[in-house]
Amino acid sequence: MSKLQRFNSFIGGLFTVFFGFALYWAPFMGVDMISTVMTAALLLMGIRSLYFYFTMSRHMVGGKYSLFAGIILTDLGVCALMMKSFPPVYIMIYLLLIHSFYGATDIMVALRARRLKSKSWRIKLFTGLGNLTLGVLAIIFGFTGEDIFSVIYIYALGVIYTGIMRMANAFRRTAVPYIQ
Amino acid sequence: MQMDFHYYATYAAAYLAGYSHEESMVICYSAQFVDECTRTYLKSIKGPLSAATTQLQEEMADARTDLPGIQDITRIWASFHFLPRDLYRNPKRRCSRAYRRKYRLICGPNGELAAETVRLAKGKGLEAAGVAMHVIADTWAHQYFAGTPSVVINNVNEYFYEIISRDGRKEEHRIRFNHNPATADNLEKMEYTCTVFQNSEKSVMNLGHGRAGHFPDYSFARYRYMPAWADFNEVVKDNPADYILAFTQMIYALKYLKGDIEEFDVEKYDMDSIDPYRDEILGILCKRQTDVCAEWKAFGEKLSGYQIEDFDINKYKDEYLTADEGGKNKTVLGRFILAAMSQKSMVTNRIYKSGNRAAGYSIDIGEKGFRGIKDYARLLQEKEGD
Amino acid sequence: MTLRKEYKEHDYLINTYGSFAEARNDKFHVDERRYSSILKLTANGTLIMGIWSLIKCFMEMIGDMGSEILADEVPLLIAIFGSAVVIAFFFMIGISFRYLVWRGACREAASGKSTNGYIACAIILLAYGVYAVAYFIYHAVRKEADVQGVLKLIFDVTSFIILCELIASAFRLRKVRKEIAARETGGEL
Repeated sequence: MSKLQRFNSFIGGLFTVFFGFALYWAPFMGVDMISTVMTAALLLMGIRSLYFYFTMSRHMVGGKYSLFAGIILTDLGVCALMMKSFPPVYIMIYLLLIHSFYGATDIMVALRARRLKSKSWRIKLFTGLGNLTLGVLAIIFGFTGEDIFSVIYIYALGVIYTGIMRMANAFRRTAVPYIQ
Repeated sequence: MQMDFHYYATYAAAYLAGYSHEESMVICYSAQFVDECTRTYLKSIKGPLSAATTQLQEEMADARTDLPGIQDITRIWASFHFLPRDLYRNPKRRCSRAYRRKYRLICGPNGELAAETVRLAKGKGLEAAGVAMHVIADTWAHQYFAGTPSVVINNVNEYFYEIISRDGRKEEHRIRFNHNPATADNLEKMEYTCTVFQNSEKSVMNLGHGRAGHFPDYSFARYRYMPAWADFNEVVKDNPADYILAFTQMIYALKYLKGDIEEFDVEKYDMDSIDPYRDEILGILCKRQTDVCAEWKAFGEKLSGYQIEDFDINKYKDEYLTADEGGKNKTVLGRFILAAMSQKSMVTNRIYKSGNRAAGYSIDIGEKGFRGIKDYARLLQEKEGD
Repeated sequence: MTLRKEYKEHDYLINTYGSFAEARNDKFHVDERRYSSILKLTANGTLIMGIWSLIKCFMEMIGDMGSEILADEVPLLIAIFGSAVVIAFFFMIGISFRYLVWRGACREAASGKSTNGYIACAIILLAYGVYAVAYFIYHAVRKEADVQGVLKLIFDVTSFIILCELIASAFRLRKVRKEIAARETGGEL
């Protein structure tokens, strides 16, 4: 990574961690904050898809799908931003999907590592099961309807983890020495 | 390419190049081991993770898709399975720099990097020769695809026809792709499994020939399709003809590595060595089945008169695990690891020097001293030891 | 030992070493693939945009109706029945035209069966596009346009461009296919 990319990674990670802690400190504002972030992300995805079309995908056979996806996502993002209230069920679905995906892949890697007699499989299995549990907890807390704060805490946990990983990435050795 | 070519055909090529049975076995083991040496495996022998030459499906699903993650994937796949043909080639149409960088990673045979790969293996032992043979062979099988996740380069659409010869007549049939990894490829119905279309440049679904499944790897495959990058031009790929070239180029390269030839140049094929067996080899290559291991094995055994044992991933594991720290680099796996890191270091450097950051940064230790990923210190120590 | 260089260099596009099958990369075949691909893509785009605008319309309607129900302005049964009728109406008008365009264009792209019905439908949708743009300009002149209006304009203009491209590629494809057929039979156009 270049110095600028490292700087961006660190600052981006720092803001993400702050956002995560803000959710812990003020969970009553959580749904609004998460909805703003999620809709902004949707809008950004749309704009990125349009940018991708104009810089890359227009050279590709069938690349116009990026144009369609970009327009629809941008439109969806604006619609979501205009919405007055954001149902927490979207946050729950998001949490379930994201944690289940990471949980399932971690478990698959752990099982393969175990077959190859690698000792690292236990850590992977543990993180995989942890992720799955978080996804299931988000749904349970969400549907009981009484504990929306717990859903926000789970979301915040994921946000803080992502932020720390981005900050750590800034310090990782990524260059390959050329030794011939 | 698959085990039939990387293991058994490489054995035959090595034997035809003049190596003994035992030497040929080490070469073909190393060539096949390139498809097995994952991070998960390296963890199991406590080897340096940077020596990984491939990734498990589970590892890819688990891989990060941020910039360092994508660069890591590119280093592995471009260095060992999709060696770029020309790092300075421009697309015919005006395009963005980002697109050009991806385009230049398209794999193909007889490129400058292919020649450097073979020259790099010279004098580094049988394991390095095996690694080089894997890379050379794959440049033929994987041409027109790039070893980096890229939908704009690697995507294929429904315009994909298999060309077969039936009763002396040439027929073209549209291939049907499905996305269920549990189903086996059906040669009769021409149904093959491939990855799901993901309109994301970073998705590992768009790595290499994933969108065309295993089909481009089959030696019998002859097909017509429209690569995503080719601006509606089509490509006709004739694998039996390509694999003959791959096989004879391997024999030529192995003769160079053995010291029988002074210089290695691209576009040279040792056709004389296979003249007595040409029809037999072509017969194996054209056989319409997903696995021709048995046929190649029988051919290799007939050639050398020795029995070729089946590939066993753990054949040299104990030797490596029981060796002391100083002796690990002298084992088969130790030398394979050094050869793999050397190849990765060279390819990353060439991509970087071409102004392309797709495989990450490369630091020339001659200019800046040792910096970067610590695993490579092992390669440096070995170099200094030499 | 002879090291033969008997095979010509591989080009990125044309394999010259084998006679098993030749790549058909003359201008006519490339154009045929290009226009049939664009036709299919724009047909899919027309349908996707239609479905999305319907979903959006449905979401907005439900939102409005939901607030009316909550305010007890309209009895619940009437609201449900009314919404069903309105949705069915929109579905019939909006999607049926786009579906016909999609079906006709895909059929022509894949098998070469050319019909003019879907092009007529595309022209009607195009006319709606002109109306939508004119409507926005009228509001913009009166300074009544808002962010959503601008977004709708972008959406309508994109739909308009997609339809123009669909019609143009349909006619070009027909022309190219005629040229290929004439060349293959050795006749003149």
